[in-house]
Amino acid sequence: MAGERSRQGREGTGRFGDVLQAARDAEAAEYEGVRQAIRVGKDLQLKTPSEVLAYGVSRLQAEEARVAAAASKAVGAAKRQAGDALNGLARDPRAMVMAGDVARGVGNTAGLVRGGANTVTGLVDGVAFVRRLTDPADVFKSPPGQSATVQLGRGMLRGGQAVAGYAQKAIANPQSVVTDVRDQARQWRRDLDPSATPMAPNLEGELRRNFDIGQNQGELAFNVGSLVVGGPAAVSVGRIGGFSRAVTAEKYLAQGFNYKAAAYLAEPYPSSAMGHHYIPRRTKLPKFLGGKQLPRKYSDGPFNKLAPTGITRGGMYELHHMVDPDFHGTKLPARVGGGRWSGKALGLKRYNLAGRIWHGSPAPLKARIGGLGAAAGTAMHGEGGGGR
Amino acid sequence: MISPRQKVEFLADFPDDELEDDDGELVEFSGRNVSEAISEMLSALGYEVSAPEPVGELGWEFDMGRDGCRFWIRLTKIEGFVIYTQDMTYRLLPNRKPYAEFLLGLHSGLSGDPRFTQIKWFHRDLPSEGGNWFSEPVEA
Repeated sequence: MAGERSRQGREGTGRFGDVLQAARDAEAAEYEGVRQAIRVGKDLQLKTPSEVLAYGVSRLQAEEARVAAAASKAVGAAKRQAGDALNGLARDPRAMVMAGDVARGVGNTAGLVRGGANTVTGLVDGVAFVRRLTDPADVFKSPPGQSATVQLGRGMLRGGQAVAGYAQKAIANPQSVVTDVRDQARQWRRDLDPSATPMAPNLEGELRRNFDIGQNQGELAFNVGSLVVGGPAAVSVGRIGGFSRAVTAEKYLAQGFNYKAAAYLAEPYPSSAMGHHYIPRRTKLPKFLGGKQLPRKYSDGPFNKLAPTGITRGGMYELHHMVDPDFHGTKLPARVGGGRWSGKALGLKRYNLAGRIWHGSPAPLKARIGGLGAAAGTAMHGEGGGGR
Repeated sequence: MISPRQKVEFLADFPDDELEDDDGELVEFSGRNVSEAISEMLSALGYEVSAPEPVGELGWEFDMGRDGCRFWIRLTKIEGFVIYTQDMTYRLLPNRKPYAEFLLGLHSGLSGDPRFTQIKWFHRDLPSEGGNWFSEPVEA
């Protein structure tokens, strides 16, 4: 964010700065669009491991080309639209409405990007927690006393956290929630509906007003779309994030880890970390196909590496243990007191074959091939069915 | 019918070589020194061994080949050390003999080095966590 501001500072502020920024955001939105498109699954007839691999690699290559072309086109279009809006529209109210429409359209795209960015800036912790709260099976999937409901209750008793406090307030005074929702609805209308606020007195102000509204609309679209698609924790509920992290650390304390280790396990799992590889990295192609390892771009790419966005270290270890019979645990760093993380010691159960196929495959792979290629990855893990 | 046991748990009397950077972030998990010792052990048996590669919390991985066969090892420090092995050779017909030879060579190397103790081969759960274990890597 700081980098974004300094870039704007270097390249100017005001409407031209906005236009430049909008063009960049439009380009980024094309990338995001491609990413989101991954979720739209279709059945493919991929019967052998090599067909699955070939398909994954070809998709990556095709997407690279498509994204490059689409991004270039989007930037050009955004620049043309913004240029048209700025040149010759002056203070004519009708022209300002048109310019506003253009700015709002560009803002929609930028908002989609902002929605995505918000999602990945630590807010997903809250989503994961909310999803657990709304998951009727959470109580069965969690260790005793560690379900989201129990954790929320414990957090409320301890107080001091915004969400728990709000929940207490809502229970004590339900009317306050109605008022909050009504106030929020008014704010949303101001944020999202161009007719809810007066037109700005000049073109620059009108562009800014519509661009902002467009961004809000785009962000809302992203969030609603994410909810509908049911993607991995893709809606922003930032206020809950801190609370969620706190209860997550508390979960690890309850599991018997010391404070430092619990905090370490509650940290976000680094995107650069190893995760779980659906088709193991160790897999090499047969000699008649070149005998080389799979391209790292594919092997460590979204189709093959399982490390869900926003998951904690402890969460990833648990997931890994449940989907990989060869992952028993790991040593914890000396700086957090050493010791070990062991799935069995925590009483975790491993998935059966079907569960490993489903939960062990990254979301983009599931979306793309609907699990049809799952047997390929599972077979490549060998007798134990594990890997990384 | 040869029945190989793919995993072995053992203790290794080596210094903990976990590496952290100046900020206390873990750069390398424990096990480089143990991986290198095992790598040398297998090289002495005629295997062409790749350099151990760090794989985060999973430890270290390397593979080795001999006579057209390829085997893979992952070494993970948990409380003791655990080695996972896999026969990665592409074959038209199953042949477990080279894999059994590889496991027996690994077992012989571990058993012959006093730094390695409590060598327990297993299929499913860690012996240190109550899982069944065997003193030999292959059931003849």
